[in-house]
Amino acid sequence: LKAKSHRSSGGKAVLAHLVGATMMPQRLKDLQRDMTELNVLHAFASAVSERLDREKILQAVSEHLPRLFDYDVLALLLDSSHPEIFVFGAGQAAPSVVQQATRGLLDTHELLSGRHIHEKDVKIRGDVSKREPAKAREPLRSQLSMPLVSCGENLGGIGMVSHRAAAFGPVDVQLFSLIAYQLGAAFRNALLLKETWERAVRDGLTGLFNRRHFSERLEEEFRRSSRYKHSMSLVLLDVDHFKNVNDTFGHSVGDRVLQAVARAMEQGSRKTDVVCRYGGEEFALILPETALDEALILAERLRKLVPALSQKVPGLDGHVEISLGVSSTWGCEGALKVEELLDRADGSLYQAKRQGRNRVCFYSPIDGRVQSIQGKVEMRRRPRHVAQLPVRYTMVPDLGPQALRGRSADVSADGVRMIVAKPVATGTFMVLDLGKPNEPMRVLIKIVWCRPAEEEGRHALGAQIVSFADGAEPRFRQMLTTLGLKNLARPITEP
Amino acid sequence: MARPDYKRRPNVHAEDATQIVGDALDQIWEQVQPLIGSVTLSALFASAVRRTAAAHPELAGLHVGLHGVDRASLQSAVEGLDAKSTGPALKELLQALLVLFEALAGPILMNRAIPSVIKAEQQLSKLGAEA
Repeated sequence: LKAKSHRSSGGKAVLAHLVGATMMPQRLKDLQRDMTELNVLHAFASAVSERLDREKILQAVSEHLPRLFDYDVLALLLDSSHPEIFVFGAGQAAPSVVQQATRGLLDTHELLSGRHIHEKDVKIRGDVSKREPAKAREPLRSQLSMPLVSCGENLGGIGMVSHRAAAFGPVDVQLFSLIAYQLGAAFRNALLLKETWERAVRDGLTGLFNRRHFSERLEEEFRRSSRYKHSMSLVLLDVDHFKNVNDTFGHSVGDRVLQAVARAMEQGSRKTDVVCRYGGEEFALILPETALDEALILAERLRKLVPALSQKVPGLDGHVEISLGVSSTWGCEGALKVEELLDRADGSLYQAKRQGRNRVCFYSPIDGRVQSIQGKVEMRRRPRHVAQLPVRYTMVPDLGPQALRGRSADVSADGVRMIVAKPVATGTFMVLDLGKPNEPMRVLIKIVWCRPAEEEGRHALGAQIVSFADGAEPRFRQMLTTLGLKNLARPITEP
Repeated sequence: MARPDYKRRPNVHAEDATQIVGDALDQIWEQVQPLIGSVTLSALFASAVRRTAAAHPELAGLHVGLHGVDRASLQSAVEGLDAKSTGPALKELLQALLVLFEALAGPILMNRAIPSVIKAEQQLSKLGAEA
């Protein structure tokens, strides 16, 4: 019995050894896979914990997660007042798969947070426009989602889908939840950092950038414009008789007026402009890549917009007006200091106040004087579709010293309307849009400033002609000859 | 001072019901926590409580921490429930958890929780029948 027992236990050991030997390659494989996953996980954790910027965290997701999971599409929802879904791997998947992935993520998020987000309210980012490969036409069979939770707050969710049945197992769930946890913490840190930054650079009352940020950005944009020899402009504006508003209607109405001015500035400016509260009732606009003429158009637009918006302020009987001072690096790139740019805008604002308020004054780089454009310039918005047309000609006419002085308004030739120029100050003219796309001659003359050519004291006019309808070009040349402006057009490309 | 609700039946089985559901929630926690971690699981539990509390506001005070459901808050929440609605409310809570598990990971998480849920539901039904 003993011998049998011994034999039996010996046999078991041999069997176990044999089984172990046959299992070895599989165990090795598993071990190798575990090691790989561990390395990727470590790399991912390091990457997201070091990156406090949302875009960089998303970059880490796109870099590392395909090495951990075999998914068709991965989607990441960040819930906020403007929810966004970031889609990864969509280039390999059908639009229907992407849609299912995003819809599933939104449904799960609603289950977890109780917040319903409509698909049309979500901004979807990622490459979702590529063509559908054969593989992704198969129905989705697996999906795995996890909430992005940090400090008890549900920030969104992450989900992945696959056309394979049972594509994700318990190990995937474990890894994915770890990833979601890391991401939740990373996005929260990024959010907190952004909020802290916003608090540091924003004005509490108006929500605009504060003066400290203004100074930093002004230096930064000025350095950039000097380096690349591009124009930049600065607008300072001040609410006229603001003290009277406070004294008459109270400080709470005064605060609302400042908020209305801030909204007008945001509405009237472009996305690239930096809108700031300079202090009290003074505001500032930094206009990168903007020449003086464009800055004046914007300033004039604001001058008209502020009264319109301020008359809606509750408790204010009437409206407020603003004075603006504009300066630009235009024409003096590299030869100007940032303090001078600021002083010039400030001096122009002072002049606008002295000349009766509710006007735009600017520092003219041509004669070094501060001038007002009040009542002299009719602003016209350039049609967008015209601006998108290719430039066919550039006109660089030599107009002579006094050629444009006093010439203004509409000039008609052969049924084609042409607005040439309006003098806005001594030695400077504003040239307005010319023609309409539906008219026989489609011409755009870009708004430009006439300024003396270097040595001869002549005026130079730069303009861009977009295109001509059939037979219109000879008529245009004829018209220029009639006006004494012949030989102006220098073709860039042949029409 | 609020007038007492004389129609409300005293919850004589509150302690037993708390024991049953508390044990079930603990078991579910032990089963699922190794897979998805305390932070996510705690969020799921809190979400289940919130969803159930929409129909049974007495459960809104149930506190979920990083170690699971707080028994004291469960006890006081259950005591706040009407005797008649104790069973259905607690079953809804457990079902809400299952729905969330299913939505996140299909059967992987749900299968780990189902035995505890079934057992608790049977015990609650029995308790209800005795009442």
